[in-house]
Amino acid sequence: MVRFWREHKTPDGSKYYYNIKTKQTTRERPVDFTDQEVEKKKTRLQENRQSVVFSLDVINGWKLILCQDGSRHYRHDRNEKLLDDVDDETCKELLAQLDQGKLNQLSEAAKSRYNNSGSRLYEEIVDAIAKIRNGPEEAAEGAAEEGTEESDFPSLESQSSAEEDNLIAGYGTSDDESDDRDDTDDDVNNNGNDQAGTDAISGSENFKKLFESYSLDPFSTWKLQSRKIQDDPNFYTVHKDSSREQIFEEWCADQCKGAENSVDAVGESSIESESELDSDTLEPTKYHYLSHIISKSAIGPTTLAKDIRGEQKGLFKQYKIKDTLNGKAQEAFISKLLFYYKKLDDSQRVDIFEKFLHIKTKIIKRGLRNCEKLREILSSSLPEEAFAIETQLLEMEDCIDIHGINRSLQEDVQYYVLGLKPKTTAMRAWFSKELDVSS
Amino acid sequence: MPRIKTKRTKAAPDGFDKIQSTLADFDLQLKEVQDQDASKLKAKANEGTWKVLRITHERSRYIYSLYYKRKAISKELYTWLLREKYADKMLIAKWKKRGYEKLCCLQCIQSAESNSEGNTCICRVPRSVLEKNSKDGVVTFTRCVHCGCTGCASTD
Repeated sequence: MVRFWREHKTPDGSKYYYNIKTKQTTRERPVDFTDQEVEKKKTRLQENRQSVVFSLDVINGWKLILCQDGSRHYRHDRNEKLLDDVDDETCKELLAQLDQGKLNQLSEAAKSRYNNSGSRLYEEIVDAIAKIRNGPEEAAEGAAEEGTEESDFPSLESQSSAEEDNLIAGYGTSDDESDDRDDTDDDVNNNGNDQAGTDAISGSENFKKLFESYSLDPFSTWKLQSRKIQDDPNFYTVHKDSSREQIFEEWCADQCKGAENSVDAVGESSIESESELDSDTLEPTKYHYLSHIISKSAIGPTTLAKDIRGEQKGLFKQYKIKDTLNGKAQEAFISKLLFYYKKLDDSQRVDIFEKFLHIKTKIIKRGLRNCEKLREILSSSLPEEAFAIETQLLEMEDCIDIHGINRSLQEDVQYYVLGLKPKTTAMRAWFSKELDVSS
Repeated sequence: MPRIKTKRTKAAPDGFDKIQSTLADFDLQLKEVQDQDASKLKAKANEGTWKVLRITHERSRYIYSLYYKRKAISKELYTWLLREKYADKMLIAKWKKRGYEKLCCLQCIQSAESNSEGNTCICRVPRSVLEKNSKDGVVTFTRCVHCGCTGCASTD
């Protein structure tokens, strides 16, 4: 309702009235001015009577409003009006589960505005609602427990006026503040500290979850990492930066420990697999890796042994060529092998390899063992992964006892003219042919 | 300052890649600070070095916590970092001693270099003692001259 008449004072102190709509000025009090005043006073009174003291979020946007006269109303987020009843089933159910005695107490507290127990009751009920919302079974228990626990000690907020606190929903005081307060009552202080302690533990857990959700780097400093998460509202659930940093350090230590364990696990597994290979004596041949490197590298007509060693430094290191062959032996073998790669194309080299096997048939058959395993390999198809192919090749080599009687085979350059995959396929083809003949 | 990388510098041990970005950030901070112009006021003459000392202190602390607190890096990497002077190993040696857990810099505990003859720096004095000894409980000390430390007693 718009008030048209305004009361003003002239510089000498006498009153005059001004109508903002008609722009009239008068020294006499207008008739409708008084009416307005009275009306305003009336509405104000009503509002006062109706003034909201507590507002509880229930569910689905419904709010339970407790007014100063002790009456209960409901309000939905979408319209401003206070209603006397709810037309939402879930909300009704939830309200039915609430402790009615406590609600009555709260509305009593609302009537006498300066009763301090109001804020505590309010928090209890908010907790109870949250519990019911989370899990209907827990709710009754939780509410009962809380009732017995917290009914008798006075509120922490005793210094500040109840009116102020009540309207602020979900406000948790930091432990600093509660410490700073001049609480004379020791019991209150202890209780407060206990609560702060449990809060701190759960808070730090939540805070650690925050780190994970932002995937912070556990190898970095707090100063850098905090920049990533400081825009998150949950960042401020922990109040002191020093305690935040402490939590971060703890989290980092945990993370690093976890990472170490996983690394250990990987290491162990790789060691295990190695030892398995050892038990099967799947040892590569003398020039196995070197020939593999050469087959991988780009070879032009002018390529020399030292070029290959320079280009493939990483692979040389990876396969630890140095450990088994000295520089001269490496160079001699590379230059011999380079001849085949430069002069012949792939199919010609396959021919050479097959011819080589054909010549050595007698020797190979002499060392033949584990025929069942060899048959097994041959009956299975050629695997896809490079590692599996290599394993199969090594197994086949093991079957012809390349490290025992047929040691001379692995000294011959012609045995290495092919890369891993063509070599394995050629070996398989040759073996299947020969074994058919022999068996 | 870390040593300049040359051909003879040993390659970093495993795990260096994980902390490299953070160390690079420290480098960046140092560069920023060094580029700033020094104040012309005599009273503020030291403040440029304070900033540098603060960042190097933070970096030392970072590596110290990586190795001793978080146990995130290997011994080899830690010694390599010390040898390449990413951290002040003398300062870290002091941090391991009781009563020196938060020491700001080595200069502050060398009595010979202190302004007041034969004593350590004022930043080593606990805040509570400063308050007790001061008139009407107001502490006039803000920052020490050596490194701009505001107080590094273990009890603070």
